[in-house]
Amino acid sequence: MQTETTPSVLEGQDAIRALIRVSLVEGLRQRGKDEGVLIPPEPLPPGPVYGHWQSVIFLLSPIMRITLKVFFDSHVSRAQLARIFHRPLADIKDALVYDHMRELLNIAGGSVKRFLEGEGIPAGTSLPLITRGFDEIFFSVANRKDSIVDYFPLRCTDDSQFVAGMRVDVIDWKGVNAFRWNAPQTEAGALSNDGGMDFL
Amino acid sequence: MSSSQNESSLRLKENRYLQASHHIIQWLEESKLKSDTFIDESVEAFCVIEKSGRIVRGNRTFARLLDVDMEQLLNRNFNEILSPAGQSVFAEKIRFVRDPDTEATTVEFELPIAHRAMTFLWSVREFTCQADPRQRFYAISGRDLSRLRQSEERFSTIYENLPVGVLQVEAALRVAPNYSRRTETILGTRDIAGRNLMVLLFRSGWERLSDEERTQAQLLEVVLGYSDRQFDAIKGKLLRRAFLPDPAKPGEGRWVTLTYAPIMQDQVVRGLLVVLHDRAP
Repeated sequence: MQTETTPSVLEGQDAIRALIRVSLVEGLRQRGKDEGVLIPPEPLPPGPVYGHWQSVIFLLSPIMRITLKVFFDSHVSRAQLARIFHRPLADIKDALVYDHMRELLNIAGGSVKRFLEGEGIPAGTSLPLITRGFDEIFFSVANRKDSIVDYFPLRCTDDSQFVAGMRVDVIDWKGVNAFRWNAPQTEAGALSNDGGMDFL
Repeated sequence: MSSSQNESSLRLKENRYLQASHHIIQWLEESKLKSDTFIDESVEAFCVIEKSGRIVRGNRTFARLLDVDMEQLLNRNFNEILSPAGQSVFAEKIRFVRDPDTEATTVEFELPIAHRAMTFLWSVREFTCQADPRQRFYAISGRDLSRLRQSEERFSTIYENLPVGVLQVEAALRVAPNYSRRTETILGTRDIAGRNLMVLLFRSGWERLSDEERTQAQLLEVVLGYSDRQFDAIKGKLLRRAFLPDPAKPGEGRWVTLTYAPIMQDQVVRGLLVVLHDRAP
């Protein structure tokens, strides 16, 4: 269970990373009706393809372009929906699974947009898209100078797992470095799977 | 028009742009998902692997080889469907397409599936992803040849057990490896495959042939490469018998009768099927 305590102020890339991590965790908690969602300390499974499917959303602001994604296998999302709706797995059609994962990204993208606008940075979001996880090999970025890349696992209470990712293409480093965010401090465990931040 | 009306009009216009953009994105998403299903439902096995053999994409036919659902293919290894010997062959083929000295970008080979009576014709192509050229992937497609091979075996069994001598000659009148067992009995030798038809049938009994028959025999040397019309015109003139001397009885032997059927490819004679019938000495 998440417990709010004093906020900690993060800056620049750390703030953006944390903001996106929190938004994705909160999105999955809200959409999956599971307050126990967290980022486990275990390392990521091998990449760059982390799931059969991925749900993607884009955000555009004057200082950066953000791509948020969640990799998933349909049986994991289907099980989550079956639990939420108290329905047998067979009743959960593919279209519903896709809608569920689109909506998750909508929530996370909307949350990032609100946080950015709260800091005076206007942002627009795209529609969320469902595509194959395999498509990642055509878009994955390694060590691109003006990109901030972060992939991390998301674990639900029932131990089912997703992999979330973000890529931020920086348009204005000055704006990014000046970005400040009051991250909510919680006691639910480390948000970062690389030990960088502790605020959920 | 007031400034608030102007602003409303601008907002309405922006909203239409947004709706149009959203519409085209939905359309693209739908067409992408549908075009992916063509690969998913292909009767050919298809997968993409990393250098380590880790599968990053596969279709339903390939998933069946591992007895898993298509979505469970991720992180499985291509080598799981191969025997240890098959894995070595496969690794060698991967090295071949990776070798910068070979210009081949695709390699084709046959390999059986471990623990199953199945043989596939595999095609492997290397590619790199645009975002990171250091990462290499291999697109693999496989066609199940099992039924073809079973049919070939059945046909081969029938062919080998025909009660007449039947052999096939290919380029340069070389005898192909498969021929009926009766051929060995008729010719009195097991040294048949790979030999020249003229030597095999006519050399030892050449002296028993008339001049006209020798000319007819020599016609066999020119028919490969003929069109179907040219062959029809000449087939009546091909030599219809051969004398096979008996090594145990000098001066004696027996005649065998010969019939020929052309093996056509693109309306050109690429080979001959030669039927040998025993005839009394």
